Amino acid sequence: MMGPRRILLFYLVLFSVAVPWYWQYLPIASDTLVFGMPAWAFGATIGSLSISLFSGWILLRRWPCEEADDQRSDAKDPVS
Amino acid sequence: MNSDLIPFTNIELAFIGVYLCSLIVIGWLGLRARRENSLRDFYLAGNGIGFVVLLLTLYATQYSGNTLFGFSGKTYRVGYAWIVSVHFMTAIVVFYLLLAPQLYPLAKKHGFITPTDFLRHRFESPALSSLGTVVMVVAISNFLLAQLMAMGNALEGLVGAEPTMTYNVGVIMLALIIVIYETLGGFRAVAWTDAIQGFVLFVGFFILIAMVFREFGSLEQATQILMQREQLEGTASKLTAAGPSKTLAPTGNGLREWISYIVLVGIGGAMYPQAIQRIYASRTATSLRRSLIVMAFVPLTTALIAVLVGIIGLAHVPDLVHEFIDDTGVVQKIDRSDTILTVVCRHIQESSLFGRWLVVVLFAGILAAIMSTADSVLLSISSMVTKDIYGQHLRPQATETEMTRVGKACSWVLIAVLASLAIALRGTDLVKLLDRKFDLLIQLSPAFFLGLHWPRLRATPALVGTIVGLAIALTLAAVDWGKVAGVHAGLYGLAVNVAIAVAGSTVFSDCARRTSRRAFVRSVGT
Repeated sequence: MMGPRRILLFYLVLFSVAVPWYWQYLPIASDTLVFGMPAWAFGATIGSLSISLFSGWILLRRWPCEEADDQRSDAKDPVS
Repeated sequence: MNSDLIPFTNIELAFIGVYLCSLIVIGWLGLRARRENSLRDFYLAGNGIGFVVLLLTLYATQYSGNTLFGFSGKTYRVGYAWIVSVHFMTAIVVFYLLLAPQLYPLAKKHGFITPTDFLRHRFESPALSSLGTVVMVVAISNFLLAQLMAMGNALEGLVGAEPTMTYNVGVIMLALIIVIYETLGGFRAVAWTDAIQGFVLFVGFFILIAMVFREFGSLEQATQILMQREQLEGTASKLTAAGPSKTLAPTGNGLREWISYIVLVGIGGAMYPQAIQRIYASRTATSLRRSLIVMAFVPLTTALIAVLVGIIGLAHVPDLVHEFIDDTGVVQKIDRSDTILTVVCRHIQESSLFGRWLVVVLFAGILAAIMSTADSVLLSISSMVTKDIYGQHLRPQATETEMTRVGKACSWVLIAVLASLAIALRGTDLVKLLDRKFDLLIQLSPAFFLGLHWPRLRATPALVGTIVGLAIALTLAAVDWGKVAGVHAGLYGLAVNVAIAVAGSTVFSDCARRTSRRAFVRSVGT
């Protein structure tokens, strides 16, 4: 699992990709379309999707306080 | 705003009416489900809500009238550059990652009800927590006002009557429905209606984009129309008399504006008091975490759709913004870009009977978006005024029953005042209202984010930083410098705010730091 600093760094990289600052330097014609959008807009959307995927992956990790929740529900469970 | 729509028939209006009445029934069911007459039960539904309702209420609260009317209208004005809305709505979930895992267990342990309960607990500073309450109430009252205006706009023209009168009746009627079901069932009614509204809204977004593609053709066609138009007008090479390109990637000021929006809305959206209260209201941490996983992907199904509708509308309905020279020789600009959604709906209504009914369902979704945000904001303001102002300063000895009664009365007074303002301020730009709200809310973020993660943060520097940050943001906005070099006024305030909070806390003596550390461990944990 990644530590907080690596997570922060990864987010910075993802946002750097999602913000289309570099498209003016790429040798791609401004009228190039991908899925009906200008290429830069499609790239920005994919960048945003990447941020969503990474956030979803981070959130798959259980939070420390969930252990306490589990203990509370175990205590309430008459079977256990 | 909806003067472009074909007025709804009586059957279609009855459908909307049944939907609205069902919300009051849900309020009554919320009243019946009440377990005790306490603030916690009224404002957080007692022991909290599970995954499905939490997800739908977070979704319905986060996506509002601004998303539909404001985002499609802004896209009409600036073109593809408003894809940044997808980024900043995603950024809200990213900032939740800094807030929710630490705040949730604290809220459960100490029984927080309002957002500033955390500030009071962490800093033990009445001044800081009171300032937090005032800032949040003012900022989201602005937001509630925007929702009430969007309600009037949504209904305007639907009944074929005079637009101003319909707008006024729409604001009053919908505000009344909200305040009735909220008074009956409190947070439980709001969350349950949000769940229905969230579902209707979710369906509405997909109906909208499907209808738009069917009626106007593909996104590729729309983009090519825009590119050809810009070539004809000679605007493909950036700034010209006709304004910035609607299809080229942003550069310079435009890029700074992107980054500014991502930071401003990302932090500001995470600081919404109604969203923080949903963190408190989650029944378990697992429900909250799973809801946030889904919320991370929602911008791609909402904000992106609003942008695409704006682009297709811009290509096929190009005359909503135009300039002319009046009789005195002055250039006048008519900007009806915020009506693009309803203009698009008019085309769909005219296409077939099926199209008419799809627009009816879509409008139920639009009303859902607006009302679900308005009810959550109203309840949040009511809770802060009641608990943080009335309960803390005016009548500290008040019982829970009395405070709940005061909270309900507060909702009625507030909605009456803001509905009157919404009627008086008809026609104000929705996105401008959104900008000011975040400029204020983000000034509280150092106290929340650093307060949760940095033991050395002290109350006085946090308070001074917040005051200075607010002063900078408000002064810049007052002199009409809402954005300086593409960066929002609130972010300049936030930069100084953070600097004061960090520098002020750092220069305290070792002794003070040890005391601070002990207080942090006591209040937040290790």
